[in-house]
Amino acid sequence: MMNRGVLIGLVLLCVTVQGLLRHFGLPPWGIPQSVVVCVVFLAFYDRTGLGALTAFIAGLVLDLSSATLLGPWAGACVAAFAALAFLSQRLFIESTAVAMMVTAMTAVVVACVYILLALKYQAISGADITMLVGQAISSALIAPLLIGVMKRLNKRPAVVPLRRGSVTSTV
Amino acid sequence: MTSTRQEISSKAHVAVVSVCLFATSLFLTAYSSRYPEVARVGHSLVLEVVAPISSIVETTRVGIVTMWRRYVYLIHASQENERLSGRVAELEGKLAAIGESQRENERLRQILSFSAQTRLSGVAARVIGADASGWIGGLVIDRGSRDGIKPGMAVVHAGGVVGQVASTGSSSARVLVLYDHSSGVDAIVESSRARGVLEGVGEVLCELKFVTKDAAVKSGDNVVTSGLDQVYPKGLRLGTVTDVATSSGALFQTIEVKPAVDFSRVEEVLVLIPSGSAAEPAQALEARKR
Repeated sequence: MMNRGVLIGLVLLCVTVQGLLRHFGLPPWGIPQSVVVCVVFLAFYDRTGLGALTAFIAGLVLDLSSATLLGPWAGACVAAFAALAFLSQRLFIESTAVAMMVTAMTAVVVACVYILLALKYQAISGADITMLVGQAISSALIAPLLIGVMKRLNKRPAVVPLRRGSVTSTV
Repeated sequence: MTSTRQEISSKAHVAVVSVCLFATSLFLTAYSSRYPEVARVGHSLVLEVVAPISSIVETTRVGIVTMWRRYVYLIHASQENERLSGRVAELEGKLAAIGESQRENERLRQILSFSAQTRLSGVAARVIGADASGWIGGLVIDRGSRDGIKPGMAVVHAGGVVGQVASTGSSSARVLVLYDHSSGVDAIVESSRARGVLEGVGEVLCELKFVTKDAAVKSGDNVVTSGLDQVYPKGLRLGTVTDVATSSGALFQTIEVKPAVDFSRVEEVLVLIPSGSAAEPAQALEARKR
């Protein structure tokens, strides 16, 4: 059973860390988008309707942290989740290189969809190629680590086979 | 055969849910652009979770930096000077602590004197974070609605205007800074009294818009608030003109302004409380410090 609450908690923690990184002087283009990594993880390991809902909520956390518009990040995350969920069977996410590549591409797609959704209602600061590429690269760099953490947090308990006269137990 | 059917059904399920959620996000975007208070209320809830963590990390960071300054650089002192180094470390540690306190005092005094000079009352606050996404110019401060902070209040620094409060939590608030695209301030050029609207253009720069071609504006001129927007009091420093361009067909000049405040170094700010609002004044800070 995928522990989605823990995932959202992790996203909230990562968003806090992102805010602190900016406060400590990291340029906006160097900030990794942990929400994108979460979307990639969900698209590969939780290709269900609830997975889509979790991606939506993760995006909504980022929307809420900005306090300007509700929805653009959430919409971008769901769109990226849907696209990845359909492609995920053709990709081998266990490979670090593939995980990084997929995360970088997803970061670009998510940012583009976000700009498309938000631009009508709000001006976007520094929406340029440096920002897109920079955030994609930094997200890709943290992807293997973060996906590893998410996998560990959502590890399914191994079921011990039933033996005659024994009680069902999990390890 | 059955598994293929199940897979198709699962994919269709994901597609339907995704489309519904995407439509919801479109609706939410349109709704929150019309009613921004919805986003602010949601943000307040997130701030309640995020602000304590930010505050703890910031305090830890300051502690580590102070510790680093005091001790770590003395680790590799030579054996011959060990005794003297110990003495020096002790004295320098005390000095660093005193220096840090003095610098903090100086910054707070600047804010207080600024408050006294301009006859503005406000709440002093510490900057504890910045916008997480990187797409919006914002700061998080450690004072919120509990301290009388409300959205729309002006936020200043001894150097000049920082921005205005965008949303508040109970013990923290988000400040929209001057250089954000959404920011706009009614401004005048100090020397020529030419009036315009100072808008953010990102990249820590602003543009003074709607200044007519005949207005005499040159590089180095100071830009201050006009007070007409009912947010910022008149005469607060906004920045300095760095570039003036005029194109033949345009009605207005293109004036680039560098904000007076160095946003990467802002540690304490003053949130201006309009007269009549109940909040702790900046002068109370001095008493609390004693």
